[in-house]
Amino acid sequence: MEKMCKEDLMKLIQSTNFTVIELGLYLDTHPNCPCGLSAYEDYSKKLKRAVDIYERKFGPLTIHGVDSDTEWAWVMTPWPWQKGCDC
Amino acid sequence: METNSDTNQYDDSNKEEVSADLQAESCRSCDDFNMRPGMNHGMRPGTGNCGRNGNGRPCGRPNMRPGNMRPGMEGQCGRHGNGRPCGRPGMRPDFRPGNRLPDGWRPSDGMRSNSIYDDSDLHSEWNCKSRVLNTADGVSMVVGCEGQTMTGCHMNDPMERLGDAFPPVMAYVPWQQWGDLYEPEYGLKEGTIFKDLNYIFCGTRC
Amino acid sequence: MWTYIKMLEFPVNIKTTSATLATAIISQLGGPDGEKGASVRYLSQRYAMPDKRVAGVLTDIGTEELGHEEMVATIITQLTKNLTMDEIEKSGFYQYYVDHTTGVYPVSAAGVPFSVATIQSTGDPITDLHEDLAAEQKARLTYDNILRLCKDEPDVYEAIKFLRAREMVHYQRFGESLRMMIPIISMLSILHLIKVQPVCNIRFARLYTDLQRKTAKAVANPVPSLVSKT
Repeated sequence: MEKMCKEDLMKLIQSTNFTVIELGLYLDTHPNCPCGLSAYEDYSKKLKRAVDIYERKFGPLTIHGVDSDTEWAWVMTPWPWQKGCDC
Repeated sequence: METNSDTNQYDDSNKEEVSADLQAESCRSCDDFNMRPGMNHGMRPGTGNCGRNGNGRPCGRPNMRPGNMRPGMEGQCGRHGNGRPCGRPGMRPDFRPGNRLPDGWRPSDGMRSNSIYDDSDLHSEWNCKSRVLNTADGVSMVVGCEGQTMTGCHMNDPMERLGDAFPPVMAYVPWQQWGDLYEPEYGLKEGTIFKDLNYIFCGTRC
Repeated sequence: MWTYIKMLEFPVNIKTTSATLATAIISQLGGPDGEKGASVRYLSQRYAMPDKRVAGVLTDIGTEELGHEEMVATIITQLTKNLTMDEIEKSGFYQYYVDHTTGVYPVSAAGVPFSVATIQSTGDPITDLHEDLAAEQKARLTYDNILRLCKDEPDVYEAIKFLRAREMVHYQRFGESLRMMIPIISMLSILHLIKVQPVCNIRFARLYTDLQRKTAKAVANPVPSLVSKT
């Protein structure tokens, strides 16, 4: 995961994020389903790890993960609807 | 037409059953037969719930009487082979509040009045197994609704087997059961990670 | 409280322009069965939902619809990027263009501005959930129609296909939500029935208390006004 390029890592985050959302929705109506719970745990861990790596290397995904060393990186990367954002 | 012993009893076993259902885990999810998720298996006119006959309970068909008529549910239930609908009140027996009718009430109150059918030559009495028709000529016939699995009361509805879990006048979507998952990447492409919920678009240009 | 994630739920990268397609797809933003209406609907209805799990479904689906709104707006933006005046005049897009240029303004395909008159929030859980089930089907149908229109635009097609599939998953969740409400509502309606009977009968009173106790136990998050009112 550490060695992935920006595009691949974004793809991984998108698909994992989607899986987490989908499992979360399933668990809303099946809150005691052990299969759903364990799948959720696996994928949310994977997502957290991927997001950490992405934010460290390529820029913030949420306002909580902004690197504030030199400049406000939150507004330095393109927004999802703009050219140059592969997401 | 006197008190109907089958419907006027509010017995404790029914109460317990209802509350047991209430406490059931939401993940039980496995109680639907032959129904796929993603589709609404709601009430259809003519589905008729008349026949809880297998377990000896009275049927819960919608009322035929104009005052109780519900749109789309005009009591298709009771073609008991005689071409006449049966005049079964809409309230489900196990929801019947109390085992005694209020003072001054007769069992027929609220059921037989305003009938769209001419009652003068036909008096009927029913229980869960059969229905007795008394015509004005003094002819009496017993009409059963058991065994009519595809026509009349039963429409061979798998939900019937679940008994009281499905009250009428409500729409039901089956519980999704845990099943095969797609890989995240393929799931994202398809729009769901659940194989069971993936109904692809097969439409063409009109 | 919400946190924005700086990415789309599903990647949208459209290389071609099409004013005609944009005119059709914008209906899923501001149209009668669009994503904006969906998110407003669910996020408004959740406050009246007594069951924690169902309130969760409404919150999560309402949130996801906000993400879909962003996807549709992105599709519109990219489809109308660098349009020539010739394309605008020929496509019928000029009617939109004259007021909004290529900005994103929530309207239906027929040009009717977004209105909350197309949604409902009744305060009644069963009614609201039925509305939600219907809304998902209507949105799915609109996506079906859009899919027929964008067969030759693979980038658009994939994103719309994704959105269509989401409608069906949401439908399933709302259906399950309705199932979760049924035992509670059945009990409440019995309580109501007994209450409105013009009867002074000690047995009825006992039955009422009994049912009330059982209902209160069954409701995941009892609402005083619904459950304990005598």
